[in-house]
Amino acid sequence: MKIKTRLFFIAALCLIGFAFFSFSGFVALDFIKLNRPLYKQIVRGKDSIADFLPPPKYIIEAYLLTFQMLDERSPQGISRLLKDSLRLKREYLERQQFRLKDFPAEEFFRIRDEELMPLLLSGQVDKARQLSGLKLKPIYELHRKHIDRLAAIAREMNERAELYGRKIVSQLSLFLFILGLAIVSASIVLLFHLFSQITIPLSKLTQAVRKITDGDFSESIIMDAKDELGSLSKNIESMRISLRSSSDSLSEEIAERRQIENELLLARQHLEQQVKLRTTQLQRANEELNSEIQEHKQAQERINRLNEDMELRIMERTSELRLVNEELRNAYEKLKTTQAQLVQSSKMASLGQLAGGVAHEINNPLTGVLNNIQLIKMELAGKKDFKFDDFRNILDTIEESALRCTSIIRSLLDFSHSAKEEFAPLSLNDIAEKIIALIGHELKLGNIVIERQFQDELPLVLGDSQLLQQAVFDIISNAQWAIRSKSGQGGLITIKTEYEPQMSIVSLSVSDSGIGISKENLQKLFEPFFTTKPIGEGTGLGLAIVYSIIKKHSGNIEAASELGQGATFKISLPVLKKERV
Amino acid sequence: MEKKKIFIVDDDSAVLNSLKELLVFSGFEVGTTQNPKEAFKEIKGFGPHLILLDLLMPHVGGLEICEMLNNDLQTRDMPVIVISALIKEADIKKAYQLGIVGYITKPYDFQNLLHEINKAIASK
Repeated sequence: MKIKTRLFFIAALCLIGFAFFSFSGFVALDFIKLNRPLYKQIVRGKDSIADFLPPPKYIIEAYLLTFQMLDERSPQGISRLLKDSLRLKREYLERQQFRLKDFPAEEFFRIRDEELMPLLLSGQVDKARQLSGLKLKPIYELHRKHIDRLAAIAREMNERAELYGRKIVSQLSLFLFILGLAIVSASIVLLFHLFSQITIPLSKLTQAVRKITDGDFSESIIMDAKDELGSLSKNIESMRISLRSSSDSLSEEIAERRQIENELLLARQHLEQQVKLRTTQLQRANEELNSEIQEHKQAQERINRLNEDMELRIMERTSELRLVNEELRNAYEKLKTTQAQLVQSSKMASLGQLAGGVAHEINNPLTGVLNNIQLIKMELAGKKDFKFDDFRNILDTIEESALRCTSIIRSLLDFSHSAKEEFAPLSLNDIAEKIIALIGHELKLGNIVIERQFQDELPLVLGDSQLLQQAVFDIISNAQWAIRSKSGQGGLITIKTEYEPQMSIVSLSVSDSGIGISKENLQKLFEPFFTTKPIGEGTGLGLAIVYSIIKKHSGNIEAASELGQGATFKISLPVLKKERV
Repeated sequence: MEKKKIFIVDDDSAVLNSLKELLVFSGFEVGTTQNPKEAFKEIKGFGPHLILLDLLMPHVGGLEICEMLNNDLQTRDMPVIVISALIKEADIKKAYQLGIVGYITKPYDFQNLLHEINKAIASK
């Protein structure tokens, strides 16, 4: 049974016991009051006194009134006393009519009314007094004795009743005391039982928990009880088991830690020794350093002295240098001129290279022109009249061929003009087209196809058309050489122009399907006099000049290639920023 | 008299068409091609008495056509005159080794060319 249930049970028992106890008290009181002869006896005693008491009472009162009347002199007073006396007699008679007759009282009232009153009313007071003393006084005394006797009886009866009542009350008290004692004992026994059922297991549990707290997990604490304590003991048991396992692992860990601590201690001792050793070494090194610093200071002083000497010398040298500088400036000017000449001569070399192709390009249309003129001549020689329409086609062909010659010569002239570094807005698409016009035919003869990947509406750049044409020509001409060197089968040159808005640049790249460039050579490409061409075919200046041209335009040139996989040269120039109008 | 047949190979249409007109006017039967790749096949089909051959052409050059003509029984004896706008020393040497009968540079004097043509046809 659960503890709670048990407590309820005991509390209920106690309540029932006390209720029974109260009920018993009530019943006892009631018993005293109603069901016993004592009460009756008391009541009866009172009645008997009441039965006996009135006649003497009236007699005594009447006697006293009679005495007053004997002493009263005025007739009014006597009649008032008489009235009272008559009223008293009437009351007495009323009360006594249902009872036994009291003869002495009857006798008293008869003597008074019939014998005494006439004497008194006739003024024979002395006679009346004598009569009263003789006849009325003995009756009065008899009644007095009655009263005394009744009082004694009443006193005795009261004493008896008191005695009996005390006896009954003491019996009841004993009964209630025993009943109360029984209830209290039963409650105490039950409570003691309950406490023993709770406190003993509780102290056991406390002891077990204290053991656990002290770190002793060896003892099992399962109690064979089905109440709260039983379940508490089970919980504590499972707690003990889990604590024991964690305690075991903790113990292992502590052992490990202790071992590590020992090792650390050893390591620390070792370190301390090392530190001591190092400290001595450092102290020694410090001393050495101090002496070195001392030496340095001395050296510094020497240097300062030397510096002073040097300053003097520098002043002398400065004036010399000024002269040298002047010479250098002149040399630089010369160099600049030389560079310009170099670009020009490189261009002349390119022109030489172009000459064959250009000659071919011009000679073909020229041949057509001459052939057609010959034809006209021959036709005219045999005809007398002719119309313009007969020669319209031939003349158109002549004009077309002649225009072809003009365009080629114009391109050539444009290209060959000496560069004066006149910067103007221009499109890289136009530059590429001009060079293709010059070199295209020659490339076609070498079975080299040109693929144009020009971006439309390419933003303009600020540049010198001559210089840029030179650069593009050199790059395309290198591409042509690389393709020819690979095989006689021709190849592909892709010319691509592109606008890169995020970098704000315009680029022109030339990719070829030629022999490619080795990694090693890629790094030296733009160095002057570096060439991979056979002796007599290249000066090693082409790309160096291209590089200087592009740098002049604040641009950049990059080359990417793999041996046998062709090469790509990319020129990037800054976009010409449009002024807002 | 039977007309002599001349075949012209040149990639330049201006030269090709005007020369054809001149030779037709001068009494020859003329075949032409502008495409050097088709030249050998067309020469074989046309069967000319003389071939006028440009040297510098894309894809198949004049010298390669000479070699093909030499390697074919039907065409090996056909006389070839090279007409070129740009004649390099080495190319000419190679052409003579391949058996051409003469060469002439563009632009030429038509009368000279006619003279060379007649000479070549006659000497055959």
